[in-house]
Amino acid sequence: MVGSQGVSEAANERTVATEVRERESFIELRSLRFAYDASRSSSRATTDVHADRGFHFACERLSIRRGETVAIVGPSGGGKTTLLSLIAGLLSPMSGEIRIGGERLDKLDDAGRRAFRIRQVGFIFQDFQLLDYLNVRENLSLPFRIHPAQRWSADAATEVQQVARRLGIEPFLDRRIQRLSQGERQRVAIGRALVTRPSLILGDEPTGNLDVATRDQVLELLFEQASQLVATLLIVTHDRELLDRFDRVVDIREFSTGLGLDSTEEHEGARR
Amino acid sequence: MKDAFFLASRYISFHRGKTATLVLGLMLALVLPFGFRVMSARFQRELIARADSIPWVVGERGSSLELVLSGLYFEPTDASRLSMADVGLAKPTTKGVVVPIHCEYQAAGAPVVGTTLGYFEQLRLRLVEGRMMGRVGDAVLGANVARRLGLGAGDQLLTDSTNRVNLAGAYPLKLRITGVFAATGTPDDDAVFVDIKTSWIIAGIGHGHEAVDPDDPNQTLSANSENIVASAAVTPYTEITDENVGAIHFHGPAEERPVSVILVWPRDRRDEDLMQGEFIDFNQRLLLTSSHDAVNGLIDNVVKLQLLLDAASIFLLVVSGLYLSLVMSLTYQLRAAERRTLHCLGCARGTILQMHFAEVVIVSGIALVGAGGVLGLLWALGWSVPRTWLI
Repeated sequence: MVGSQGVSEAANERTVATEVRERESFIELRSLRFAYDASRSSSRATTDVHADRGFHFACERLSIRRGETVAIVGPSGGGKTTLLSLIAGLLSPMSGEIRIGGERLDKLDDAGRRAFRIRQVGFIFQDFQLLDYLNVRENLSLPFRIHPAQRWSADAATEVQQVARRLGIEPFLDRRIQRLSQGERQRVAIGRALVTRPSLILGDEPTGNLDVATRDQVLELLFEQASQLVATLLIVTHDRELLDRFDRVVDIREFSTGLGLDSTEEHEGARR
Repeated sequence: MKDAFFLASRYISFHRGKTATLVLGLMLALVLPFGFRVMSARFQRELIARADSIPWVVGERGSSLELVLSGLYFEPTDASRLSMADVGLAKPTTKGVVVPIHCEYQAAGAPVVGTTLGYFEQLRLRLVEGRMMGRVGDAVLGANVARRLGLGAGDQLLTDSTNRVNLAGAYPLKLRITGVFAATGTPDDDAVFVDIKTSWIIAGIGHGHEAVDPDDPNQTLSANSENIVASAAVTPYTEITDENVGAIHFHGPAEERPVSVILVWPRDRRDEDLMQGEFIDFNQRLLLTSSHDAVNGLIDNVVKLQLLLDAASIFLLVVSGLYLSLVMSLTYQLRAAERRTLHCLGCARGTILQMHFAEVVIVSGIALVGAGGVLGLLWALGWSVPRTWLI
């Protein structure tokens, strides 16, 4: 996925994306059923709070367009992370379809879902989940070092440099993670998610640990970068103040009851 | 695998203190048994080489090992059991060389070895500085003693005082150093060599003092036509000079002067066999001991000790392996969040296992290389097991 296109081409991409967005459904969930089963290895890999309490998740239909920014809201333990995990291919549904960019995720085996993840998905966590034994540059380059589909190369190094520049963390590239502020750390986490130019960016409360000023800065940056990449942005958040910035808000409560037939609560919010 | 090693190396480098502790523990577990083997092998070689250079030792009946060690390694012994008369008895038993050794005293912690020219000839000791001793009171230093004390030809060395509370006993003697022997890697390097007469002077058997006036009651305790017993007012010389060397004299018959051990170099194998026969026949008090036999007995004990240590080492390695497994297992558990993150990013479990495997390989590799380095250093430095550990 690493290409030589720079930020300068972003404007053209944006124009194309705007057109595509109007008609293309990027994420399609249909008749999706999921329940946690402790014996399933895919369940064990998540950080989901439901993993050990017989949680059931159902979604009859959910469509998200390419380049759309979506906030996923709902109470704690409502299944927001489960939804993200299903879309990321970290969990495998019991039944139903997950189609992302035309690819049937539910049909893929574990290796296929991993390959999909490294190719298509950028993940941002609330607590950053940066590796403290790597410096900023090495954390940014991590996706290139952990999967055979993404080899560390000169192109990758250039991409890391460019992402760092765009996120304003270039001066810290050789700095240890422990020496960064919370805001800087989240920028690094965003950089790690963007460095493979994913078409889908998933954030599990990525601004949850930040103060208001830093939160706004980081979110702005995230929207901007997602827009440049024409990436679909799905963000789990508890922060009601942020909802207006998203194209759309999905309330998870409709899913976890098991009656969520086309039941997304949608808000057409103006981004910025 | 390259990336797995990269990430593993970064992890290890970040936790360098903990890694160093782990590596050190593993290194010790490897170095202790193998290091002892290296040092013990060298010790055995040194023992055999020394026994080769001094093949036979004569002493009073008793422990042959003690006898050989006192002869080969200048272990201080009670020199009152043998005398020059015994040297006289040993000489006719062989056509080879018989050398007396008197070793009771020390100078600056080094044994003062009184002997005759034959010793230096048989062991082919070569001077690197100065000349051999020319008269009583002269000494030639072994290489290590000279280096340790920073002394050379022309310097002086005082023998250690052994009887500070006995005013009538032997006083320290100031030795004139005339030369230094080349290093041989043997106990000769750690000795101070003097003529056996000098050694007897240190023992108080021979001495020199100003002329005693038999009519002066302050200088004599008793006097008759044959003997004059001088009082403490007549002080013996504590340094032998060209001026007073003529006044040095010995009391009593020469054959009664003490000897610690007698070293024998038979001329050939036949002479050796004949000598053994002679010793069986003629003297029930003296013991002729083959250095090789005594040393081989000691080596047998070392080998037994080695087997014991090998068993302990295997146990130590197993325990170390278990501890390493425990540490790795705890580390694995502590890093569950990191594994989840890597999995979320698309990392296969196999790749994560490769990373952990790479960490084990790196830690074990550093420990192995470190242990190899220490063992190589031990070998290069020529260290052997200190003799006092085993004897």
